[in-house]
Amino acid sequence: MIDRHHRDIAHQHEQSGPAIEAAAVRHTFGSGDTARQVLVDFNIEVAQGEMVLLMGPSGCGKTTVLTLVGALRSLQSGFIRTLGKDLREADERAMIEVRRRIGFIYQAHNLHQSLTVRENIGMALEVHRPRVFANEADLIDAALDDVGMLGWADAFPATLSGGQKQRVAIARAVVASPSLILADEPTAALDKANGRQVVDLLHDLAKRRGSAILMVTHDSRILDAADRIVEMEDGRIVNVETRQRPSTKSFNQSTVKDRRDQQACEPQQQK
Amino acid sequence: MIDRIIRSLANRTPLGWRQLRHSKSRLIVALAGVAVADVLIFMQLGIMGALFETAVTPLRMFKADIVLLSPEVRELGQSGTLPRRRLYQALGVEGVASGSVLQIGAASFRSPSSIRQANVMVFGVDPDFDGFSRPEIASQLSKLRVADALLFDRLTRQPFGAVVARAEGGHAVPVEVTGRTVSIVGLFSLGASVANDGSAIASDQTFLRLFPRNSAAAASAILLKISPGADVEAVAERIRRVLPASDTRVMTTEQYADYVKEFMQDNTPIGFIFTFGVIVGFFIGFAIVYQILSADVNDHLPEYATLKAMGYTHRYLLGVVFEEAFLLAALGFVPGILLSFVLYWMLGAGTELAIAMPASRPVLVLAMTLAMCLFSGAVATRRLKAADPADVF
Ligand SMILES: Nc1ncnc2c1ncn2[C@@H]1O[C@H](COP(=O)(O)OP(=O)(O)OP(=O)(O)O)[C@@H](O)[C@H]1O
Ligand SMILES: [Mg+2]
Repeated sequence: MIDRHHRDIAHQHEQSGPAIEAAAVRHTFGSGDTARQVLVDFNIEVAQGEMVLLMGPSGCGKTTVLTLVGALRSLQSGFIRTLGKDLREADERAMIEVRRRIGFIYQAHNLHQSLTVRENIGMALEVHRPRVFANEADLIDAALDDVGMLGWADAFPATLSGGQKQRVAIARAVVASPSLILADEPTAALDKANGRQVVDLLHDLAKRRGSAILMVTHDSRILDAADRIVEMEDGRIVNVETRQRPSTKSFNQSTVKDRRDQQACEPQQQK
Repeated sequence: MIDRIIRSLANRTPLGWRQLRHSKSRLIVALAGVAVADVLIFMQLGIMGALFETAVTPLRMFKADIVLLSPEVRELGQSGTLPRRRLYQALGVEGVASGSVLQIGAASFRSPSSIRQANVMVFGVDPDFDGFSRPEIASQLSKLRVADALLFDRLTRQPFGAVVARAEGGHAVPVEVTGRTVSIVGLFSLGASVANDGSAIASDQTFLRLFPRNSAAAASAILLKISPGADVEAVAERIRRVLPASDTRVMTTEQYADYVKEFMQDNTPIGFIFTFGVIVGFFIGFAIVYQILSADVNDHLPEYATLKAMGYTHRYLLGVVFEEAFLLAALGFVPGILLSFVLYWMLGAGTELAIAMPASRPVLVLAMTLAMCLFSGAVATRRLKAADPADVF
């Protein structure tokens, strides 16, 4: 039996419209003399099911983009719509609702040391209480199986390797089948083989579950997994590269690599 | 087990309990802190209760169900007087089986072997009075028919050791009471109180000689026994309707005992000192639990921030901290009360103070423990504000 929430999630996947729309976003940290504008007229659009890599030099504002899009930080100026929710008018309650529909993956795994692997993943389902998934245990098993960690369900994070922890973190991010996954350098702490494995995993899972992915990375070894690569510099987009991947239903069949001004760098944006 | 209880009560992963359990040494320190605070509180309450109880121990010698007193009554030694004829009126009330006049006075006793004095409470009774609950006293009452004879409390504070030793040997021992020489013809065991070093029992005749200002027409108290099966409250109420409230106050023995204890609580520093001790215990517990909980919140800030990023509310995180606070209270209380029972028993064995554990006291201390822990939890949650979901990336 599928409960109401699960149908909600399935329903979201049928929704039309991009997973992320952002336009003219500005963000400033601090005030007065110490004020520092981190985002300058930032625009992006990520379609449902699309995997976009966000790249750029350290300090150019990539993480700030993720926190704004993920409703972890209040929007100062500009427009962001995440999973159909306009974040300009979102109060705390609405921001929390948006967060629940997103899977976050961090550079550090951020697992709870006092909870087992299974319980850590369960926390991503429990957040929807009082709504309960009818088959929570099955969902967790499936997610663990997907990341190849089924045999570690009752282990504590401290006993896992870095790659294993990150795989558990991915299982946690995807278990509730979120429409959007936001990942910040998920491979940075891993060696080459593990990093590749984690990205492929994330890619396959997202495609299978229909989740869009916006992933910040410095890792040039994983570029081929992406549908699109967005390069940032000093708070704005400087380059967009759209790739053709046979494994995806791409909405843009052309392979373009061009350097455009930042207003024109949003191929999906129709205003 | 705790895992399962919280799971079913709160319908969620018992995160607070898991975090407590995860850092064992911190958990042990916290529980020890709560237990020590509880022991402190239990000891303060226990000793205070025992001291108050000593003030009414003389009352426990008597079998009375109802006591008639002057409206000016204060503590046991300062009873004021009421007319003796109220006894005969009370005896006419339905449900009253028997009664007797009791005289109470405090006098300085001087041991022949010492110049030091003891403040002794003297009870004057009719030698035919059958209202003593202790056979030891009842069997010796006939000795009081002799003029200036006294029964003496063998637990009277020093310097009466020599006197008691001689009386134990069956001798009549002379002592000086307010300039008059009387003789101790028998001993009984009662114990000192906060106000008195000991007690003595005399015939009403002897009493009036020792306290010439008292009148035979007046009584310090009138003790009444009710008929078997009668309801003590109902009988007391009937007596109240018959006797004038202007010179007589009617109380059941328990009401009188409570009255004396309350009077002490309000009018001696004992209540203040021990209440202060209880408050100190409370704040020691508060400080320890607060330290532990805020350190715990601090250590878990990244995890809490992650939870917020996943969509958990601030209220959920408050719930986790309060879960920890509640568990510390409940789990710390158990060793606290067990240790207190042991200490009560040891103190009772080592001193003359009989420390009892009335049923209401664990309830009170448990409530205080919960308040202490939840209060520290509430203060510790202020640090939760530092858990910013935008910081976890
Ligand atoms: N909370 C904050 N307060 C003040 N300044 C901040 C804050 N967070 C980030 N910044 C500043 O904003 C700029 C952009 O930060 P951001 O974390 O978005 O960069 P990034 O592109 O993710 O860099 P990196 O690749 O090193 O992670 C940096 O200069 C940083 O110092
Ligand atoms: Mg960053």
